[in-house]
Amino acid sequence: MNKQTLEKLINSPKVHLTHSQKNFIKETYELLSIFNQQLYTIFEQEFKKITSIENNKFKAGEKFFEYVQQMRYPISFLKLQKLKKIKNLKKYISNLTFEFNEELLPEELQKELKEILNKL
Amino acid sequence: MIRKTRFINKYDYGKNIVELDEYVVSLGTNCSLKCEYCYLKFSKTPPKPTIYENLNKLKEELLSLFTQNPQKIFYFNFGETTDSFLTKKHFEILEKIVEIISILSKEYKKFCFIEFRTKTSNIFKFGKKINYQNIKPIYATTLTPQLTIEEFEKGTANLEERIKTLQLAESLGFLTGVRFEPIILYPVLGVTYNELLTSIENLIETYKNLIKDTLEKLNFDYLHSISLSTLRLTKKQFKILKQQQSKLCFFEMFLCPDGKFRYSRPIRLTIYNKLINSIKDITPNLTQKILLSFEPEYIWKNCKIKLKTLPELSQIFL
Repeated sequence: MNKQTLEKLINSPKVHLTHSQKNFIKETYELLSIFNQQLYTIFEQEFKKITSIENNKFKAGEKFFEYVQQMRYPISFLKLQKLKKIKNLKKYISNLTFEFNEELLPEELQKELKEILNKL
Repeated sequence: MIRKTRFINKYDYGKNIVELDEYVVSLGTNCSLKCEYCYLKFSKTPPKPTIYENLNKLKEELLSLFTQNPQKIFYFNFGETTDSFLTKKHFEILEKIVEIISILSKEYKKFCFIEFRTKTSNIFKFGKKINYQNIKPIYATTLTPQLTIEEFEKGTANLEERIKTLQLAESLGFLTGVRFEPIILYPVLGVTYNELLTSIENLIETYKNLIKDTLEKLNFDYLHSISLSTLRLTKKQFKILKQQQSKLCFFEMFLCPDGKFRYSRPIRLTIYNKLINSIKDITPNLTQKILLSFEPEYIWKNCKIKLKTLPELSQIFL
């Protein structure tokens, strides 16, 4: 698998991906393939699965991008989703990463945040 | 060679990182050990390891440091810009600098802890007692699992030798520093969630055994500090290492406010907490000697480690 075949996949008319999403996928591919040589087959299988079910190229693109994010951050992806669901968190933190001091936030948020941020 | 820039610099920890209040003394630049993650490979340095001999400049800097700072205890790190024991010449210049520090410390009523940090076993070749007034030398070595040494620290001493150097250092009257840094998540068994969890569990088990094997060989009265820190890479390092397909470029790393890539917070905290508990299991008193290098305050707090600087930690040895 080389960059060209990945380019074909992400530029396929079956999916719509933004420029930054394409870059993220390319970078993720580069990083993951250091640890798994069969990565293209895995990406391709998921791509085919998504595009066979989803005809809307925007929704298909969204699903494929989400799949790649999950691959890139196996531990953090679900945690980031959980953070996004916490009410009012965005009021205190503009950029949702894990690198903030939860103890500076209201007490009612702290317990939930500690569970998400500090454990696998 | 003549050093044109400052010899002594206060360590710049970066945004939000807990400051340990240490001063870096650049007795030389560059290193021939070729550790894959070393920042020196990515910095503008002389092509070969270099030692600086214009020690009068260092003396002037030291004088101004001592006269301008009311603090009594200073902590100097001799192993940041080169390996302290890289060659015999390094050791000789290092001794000259210690002598200068000792004379000025005595004159200005200061007390200095000096950390020599190395990944070599050269203390066996040219190590000797360093006995100067107002000085306590600390021999610190990085302890890394053997598999990781073979992959990323190819030019360095093996693990068994490094542990033996700590024992020799003790017998020569040095305090000792055990440095578990960088902790590298290696080997990574695969890219799935379960494979990653197994990789982390394996790493923790390996380090627990390493901690137990090391600490049971050391005299805790001489043990100055134990530091823990997982791998961190600058943006430039990450980019270049990615192009080189280096296994250091782990996929679940995030860019932190200080501009360094680190493993995600749940991974770091899990590693730290498990290793700290394994140290506590050996003897709870050692907790006061644990430091987390290059981590923000909230990481220390979540590991239940009291914030402290190196001079503060050193007070128990006065």
